[in-house]
Parts: sequence; structure tokens; C-alpha cells
Amino acid sequence: MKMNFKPAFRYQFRSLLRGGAKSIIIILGVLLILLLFMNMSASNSSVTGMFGGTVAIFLFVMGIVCIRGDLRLCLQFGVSRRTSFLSELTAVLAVSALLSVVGEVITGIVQLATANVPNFTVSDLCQLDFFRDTRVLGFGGHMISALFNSALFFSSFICGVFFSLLFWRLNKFWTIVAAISIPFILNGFPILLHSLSIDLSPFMGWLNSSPFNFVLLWLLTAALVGLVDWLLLRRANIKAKT
Amino acid sequence: MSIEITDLTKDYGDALALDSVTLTLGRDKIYGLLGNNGAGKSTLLSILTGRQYPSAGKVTIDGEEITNNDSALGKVYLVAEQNMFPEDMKVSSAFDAAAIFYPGFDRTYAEKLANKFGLSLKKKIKTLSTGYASIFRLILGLSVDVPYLIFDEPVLGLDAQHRDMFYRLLLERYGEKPCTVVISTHLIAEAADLIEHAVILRDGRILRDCPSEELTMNAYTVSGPTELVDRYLEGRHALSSNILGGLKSACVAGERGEKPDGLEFSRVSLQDYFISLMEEEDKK
Repeated sequence: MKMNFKPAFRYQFRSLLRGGAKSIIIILGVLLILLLFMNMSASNSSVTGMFGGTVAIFLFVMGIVCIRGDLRLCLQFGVSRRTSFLSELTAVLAVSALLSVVGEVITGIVQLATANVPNFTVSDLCQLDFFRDTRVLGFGGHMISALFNSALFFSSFICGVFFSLLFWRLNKFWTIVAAISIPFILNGFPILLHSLSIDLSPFMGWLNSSPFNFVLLWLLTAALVGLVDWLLLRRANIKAKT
Repeated sequence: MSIEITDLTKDYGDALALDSVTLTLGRDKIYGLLGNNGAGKSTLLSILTGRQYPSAGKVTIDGEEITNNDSALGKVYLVAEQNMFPEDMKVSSAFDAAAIFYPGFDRTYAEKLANKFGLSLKKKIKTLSTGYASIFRLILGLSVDVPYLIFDEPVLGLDAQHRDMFYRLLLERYGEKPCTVVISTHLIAEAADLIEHAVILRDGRILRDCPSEELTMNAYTVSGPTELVDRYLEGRHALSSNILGGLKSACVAGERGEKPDGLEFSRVSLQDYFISLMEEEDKK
């Protein structure tokens, strides 16, 4: 089966990149405001996980928002759902990597610029967990942090796609059931583990022993949820937005 | 080189939208896909373009199965009733996107048509009126270079002048770049002159699949005083009839034969034939 991958990728990459650029501008604006406030305030200020956390949430929302529209457009322009889905994943992988690198550059610049400011620290998620004692991250640290964020962003997007497709496929009754069930499942899971006397601390210990373990976890999550996404999508009736 | 539809069935639970439809859409012909509401026309077109999956049967385009096959799907462009574009997209951005997906997309021609119809390129698709949303989709359809062009209710919301413009532009496009055109419409009388081959669907089944000339040649309208017409219809297959005052007209299937005194014969139009056929089916 022949694939018309390139045009779908080009369209989706451009669209995601435009969204990503907007989110970076907003983050930079917030950082600037914080820097201004820091100058006015004598108290200690710490900005932690701002880039990674914000972009992960942004890509989760993009996953919810983009998938249906991109599928419709691709089918309108003669590209199958399989190609559209694969090109979407490739595009988000590329955008995740790009945003991570941009994030590290911004974090690195701000860290260097504020290295001598005693009451201000900026760090990202990976640094918070694995390089806590380091105030200004080195090149190797930034590379690991970029990989960490890339996997997190990719996984967030795929999880967003899951919720979008799930609620797309369900009828009204099951949509209500799912909407009510999800918070129960999320809150009930730790209680269930506790009641079954399942100890997660060895797993958490393993996870916190290396940033690569987190990368592996997010990539495995992305693979698993991505598979479910495809199963939800492969036979769906693609209709116009009503 | 054709679109081959074999034993295509689509059900939505208990409702059967298509029932073992077998059809060939050959190259470089204008087809009319006709049928009442709920006949299965839009479902058939959605399956042809990969938007829906059939419950059974298969579709091939130029010998290639369409399932997840971009090479086959890329040969068909469907101008659907509904908008498949992101709502916040501008008309010009949609043209940009079309140029990414179709290297043969004629942007200059698309802009010329937009100007002709008075469609602003700066407008967002969601802000377009029903008529202009149709015009936007028609312009894209007329500007892409594909061998199979499908229109599902193309003139929805268009005024008479714009409808006429569309039909003329479609014929121009067909003359310059011959391709297979499928028009699914309820406005049969307007599109009748364009349709070379008619496919009539009813309740998910194909009732007729033949050149439109053949359909209308094999039927005729007889009119005159009710008594004379009734006498004439004896032993003949009347598809439908109407009485107005003392005059009756009937659509009759078969050869005309000799015209009795006091009666008038006239050629049946595609729309009249369609209505007669549906009325006959209603009686079954």
C-alpha cells in the first residue's frame, strides 16, 4: 500500500510548530514578568519545571484538539487515516524534540544570565529530579533534560489524542459513563493498590534512579496508548464537525 | 481504468444503508448518482473516499484497493456537503494546504474563480454563509487535478446565477481536462443536461445503472383527455400518471409506437423518469 506521507507530515508539522512557537512566546513572556518581579522583590524566587510542565500540558491539549481536524483534512485531500496518524506521530515527535531543544537553550541562557543572582533559580523537571544540586546545568545535563522532555511531550500528545478519540467514538451514554469513571479510576487506583498491599516503592525507586528510566516509561506509555489510539481510529467514521 | 465497487454493504446496526452494491464508474464520463433521501448516496461516496468503512465488499480504484492506500485515495476528490476543513482556517490557507497535498492544484485558477464568485480569500471558513461555504468547496474541487471528481449536493445554498456558473465551469473543466465526474444531486432537472450515465439508488440498492439517454428513450409521456389516455394505457406499463381537470398525462415505459388521434407524445425528462420510477417503487 503506497503512502503519501510527506504532504501530511509537512502540513501537520507546520501546524504544530505554529502552536509550539506561540506557547514558547507565552512562556518567555511569563519568564520576563518573573524576572522583573524578582528585581523588585528581595525574597527568594524559584521557577521549577516551567518549560517542561507547560509544554507537556500544551501538547496534551494539542493532542485533543489536532487529531480530528488533521484526520478530516487529510482524508479530504486523499490521504488515508493510517498515513495521517503515522505522520501526526512523526510530526509531534519532531516538534517535541525541537521544543525540548529550544527549552534547554532558553533555560540555559536564563541560568547563565542569573547565575550570580542569589535569590533566583530556574530549573526544569529533569534538573529538579536528577541534578538538584546543580544551579547551572552543563551541556550533558541539558542534553539529558532535552531527551527527558521530548519523551514527556510525545507521550502527553498521544494521551491527548486518546481522550479525543475515545470521546469521539463513544455515544452519549458511554461518554457520560467515561467522563464520570475517569476521575474515579485515577483516584481509586492508588487506593486499590494500597488495599491489595501492592508496594510501588521499588518501582518508584527504579524510576528515580535514572532520567533514562523516565524516558523509557514515557516511551512505553506512548507506544501502548498510541496502539489504543490506532485501534480507536482505524474503523471510525470520519465525519465533518457538527 | 475505473472505480470498481463490488458487493458493497454498509449497515448501522439494524439499518442497512447499502445492500450489496456492485457498480463500475468508468473513465472520463459524467455520472449522475440519483436517489431519494436516505437512499445511500452519501454513504457510498464516503466509503469511496475512505471516510467510512464498508461492512462487506470492496472498492478498487484503477485496480488498487482503497483501504489505507494513498495512491488510490489520492485519485479521488470529494466535494462533500459538509465542511472537512478546520473551522479557523482561512480560505487562502486552505488553498495553501491543497497545494501541499496536490502538486497539480491550480492556485491561480482557484483565485480567479474565487474572484469570479466574489469569495474573499481572507475570510475564515467558519464565517462563510452556506452558499459561500459551498462555493469554497466547489472551487477547490474544480482546481485539483484528479482523475475522479465527485460532487455530493454541490449547489447547496447557491443562488440560480451561481448554480449556472458552476455547471458551466464544470463543463469547461471537463472539456479541458477530461475526468470522471460523479454528481449526486436532488436537483435532477438542473444537472440532467450534464449527466451521461445515471445510477439510481433506492434503499441502498441500485435500481438503474445505464446511460441517461437509454432511460429517457425507453419511456415517454402521453397526454390527452383522461378517457383516451386510459384506453391507450391498457396493456401498457404506466410508470406514473397525473390528472388535471379532464386531462391526464402518464409516463409510459417501452417503445412509443403509433400515436393515436387526440393524444400527445413527448420525451420524458430524467427528472420525470426518476419521479415515475420512485412512484412505481412506492407502490411495491
